[in-house]
Amino acid sequence: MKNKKNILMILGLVLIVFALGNIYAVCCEETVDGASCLNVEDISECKTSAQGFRSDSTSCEATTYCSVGTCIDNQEGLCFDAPQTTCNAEDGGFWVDEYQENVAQCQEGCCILGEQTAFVTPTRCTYLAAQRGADVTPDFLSNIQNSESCNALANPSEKGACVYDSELGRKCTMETREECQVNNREFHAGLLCSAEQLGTLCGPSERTSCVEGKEEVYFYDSCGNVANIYDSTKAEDQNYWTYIQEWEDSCNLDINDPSSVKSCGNCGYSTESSVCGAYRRGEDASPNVGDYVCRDLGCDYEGQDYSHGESWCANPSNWEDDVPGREEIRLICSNGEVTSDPCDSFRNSICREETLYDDGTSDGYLNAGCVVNEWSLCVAQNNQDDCELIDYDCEWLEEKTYELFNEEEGGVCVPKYAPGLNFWDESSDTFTTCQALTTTCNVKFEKKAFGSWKVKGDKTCLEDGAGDVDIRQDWAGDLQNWCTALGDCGVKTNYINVDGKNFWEELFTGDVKKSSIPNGKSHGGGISAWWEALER
Amino acid sequence: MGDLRVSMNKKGQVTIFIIVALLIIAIAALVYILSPGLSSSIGRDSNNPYDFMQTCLEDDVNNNVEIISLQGGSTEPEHTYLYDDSNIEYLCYTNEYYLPCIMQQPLLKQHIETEIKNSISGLVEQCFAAMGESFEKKGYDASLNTGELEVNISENSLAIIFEGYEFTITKGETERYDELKVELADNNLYELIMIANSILDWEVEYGDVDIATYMNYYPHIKTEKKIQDDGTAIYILTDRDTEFKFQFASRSIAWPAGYPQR
Repeated sequence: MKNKKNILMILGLVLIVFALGNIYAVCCEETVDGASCLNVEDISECKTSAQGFRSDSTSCEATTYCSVGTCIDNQEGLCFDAPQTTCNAEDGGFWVDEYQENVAQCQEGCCILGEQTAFVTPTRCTYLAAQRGADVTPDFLSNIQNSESCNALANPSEKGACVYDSELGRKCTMETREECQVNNREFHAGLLCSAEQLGTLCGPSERTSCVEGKEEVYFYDSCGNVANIYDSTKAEDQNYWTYIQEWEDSCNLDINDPSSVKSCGNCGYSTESSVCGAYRRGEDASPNVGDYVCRDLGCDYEGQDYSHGESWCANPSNWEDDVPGREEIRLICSNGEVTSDPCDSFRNSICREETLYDDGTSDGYLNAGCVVNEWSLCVAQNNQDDCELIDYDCEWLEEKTYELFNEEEGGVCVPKYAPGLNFWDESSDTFTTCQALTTTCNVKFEKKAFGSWKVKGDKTCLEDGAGDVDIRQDWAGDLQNWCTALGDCGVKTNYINVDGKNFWEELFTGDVKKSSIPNGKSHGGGISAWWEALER
Repeated sequence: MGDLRVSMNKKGQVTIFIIVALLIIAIAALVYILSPGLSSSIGRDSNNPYDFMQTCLEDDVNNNVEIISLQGGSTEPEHTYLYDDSNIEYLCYTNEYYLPCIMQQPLLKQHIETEIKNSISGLVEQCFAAMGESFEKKGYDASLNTGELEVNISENSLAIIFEGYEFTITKGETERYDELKVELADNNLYELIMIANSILDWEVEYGDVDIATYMNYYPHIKTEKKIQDDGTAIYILTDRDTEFKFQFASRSIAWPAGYPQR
């Protein structure tokens, strides 16, 4: 029994040895494949000095040209962790041998660009201002340390009706106080151009449309100025056409209620999983007024409704389902479309989902993610309490025979989500991985007075009796469960229901009867258990 | 009576033909007015060097930009992953397990500008030659002083700028054209590059990216990540309005299959 524990310990140790032992001898500035700054095993994998590239018999981190520092993009005002050789000065790159947090040009602050803000570097702030034209003078606040505080500083300027006289009468546009007063025009804070008391040429209209950079449907007045958020119940309400309404005072949209969608244009990606769009016959609820409507961005997937931004797991599983080829998939609903986001291959990461509640009344919001499958920790756990710690992805496998793995605890710790193996690759470690699970059961036979043989002593793996004894079914079953739980070993059928090449009968070797072994086919490819009767 | 009926029928037919002809002209006029692409292409004045260069370069440049975008930013990418029959360039890569990737193209925007520039420089020469020839056929003396070809990708635009170029035509009087420039329809390439930069930043730091966060932040950009067996992630960024794509590969903090052994 001690041997088995040792194998488990070795499996755990191998992980550490591998991580430490994976050492490459040469650093290539560029490999023959065109990759920059790679540690490789042999110098022949590097481009030569004749081709203009360097290489050294050391790790890339120890070289001047490939150690990672900060590459500053002076044109765009961006900073990246990158080696010197990839930070091309001709393209505006400037490399410093420092971490980004120690480089002054890379320190982010709050960039105020008119009514907008951005949490960026000072150079980026200047660049963004230049992109927005001469009207925008940037203000960079280096004392603001995070994007949330910066966003809070976004301060929409006071808006109102800007009125001026023309030959046709009093014209009006919606502007900020500053924009209006620059031209010496009358500014009326908080009023819309359609306000009767202004006596302008503008009045209410039934025209609605989307506004660039906003998510809601808006009314437009007869002069083409943006008015308040579309609300058909207030289409003829003079008050609604007089004062600028705050967003929170606008109608409440329920995207699942067609009558609400017809009358209210208060859409939002995050609030109602919807956004303004032109009405599409047969797809959207027809608006009571105008031609624009809040489009539902939710998704219908296998008969279930999901909101924009929700994510969920496509195939929650346990280890018995983790057949060769099976991978976990996370699904995301975005803009009315379901996007699949597979987790890492070989079940190195698995999908987990949770329901988030922002208040006690809502149905909740599904959020899923691919998280690292911590299966490798399982083999080192030798009692049930440690095995079932929530931080590990392990499961305690009860044994019937109690003697194979952990006599005192009566079970063995196995991955909850069995890792995949690339068994089709002959150079891979799969064969040795599965072979490491090989179990040898030593049995003593005693020759009776009349020449027949009988099992003597330990009867872990063979039925009691004389003559052609059979393998114990519970012992074989324990082994079968153990090796299939530890990976793509043993006898398995793959995820598209194709049987593998092995039979359990062949995997249990030895000069004994095997009638009690359940059979099947495998893609595992390795030897799951190796029975051998010795000392006959 | 019989002749009169025939005559009436003929007159009726002529009237119908006239009405049908007028309808066709009206429909053609409407299509011309309402379709800006059509009106601008038919209405281009080949006597105008600006329009000539725009017409000559536009389609080929758009085509090159699309190829470059689908290949990770290079015309002939060297270090690639074959995905869906396309060679997609690694913009961040490590050949080792458990380690974060090394940024391969930190100055991605500038790299793409250079790639576009290199891919069209021959074409630009051909277009200038064709333009000179075209004007000479019309009896002009044409000459060209060349300068520096520049490609500028910025928010909402992709421009080919002929810095220092001067195209001169003379027929009696001399006309000089400098500040020649070709502007392409906005395909949102700048924003896609900036999102790619941000994803690569995360790949270097954490070895992974949550694409749902990107789609929530940029709802008009579809962000896809296709994980491959060897740990390579193929990122596909698609502008939902224009269907324009930018794709690239990254391999960072990859895990081997199963129990690692040596």
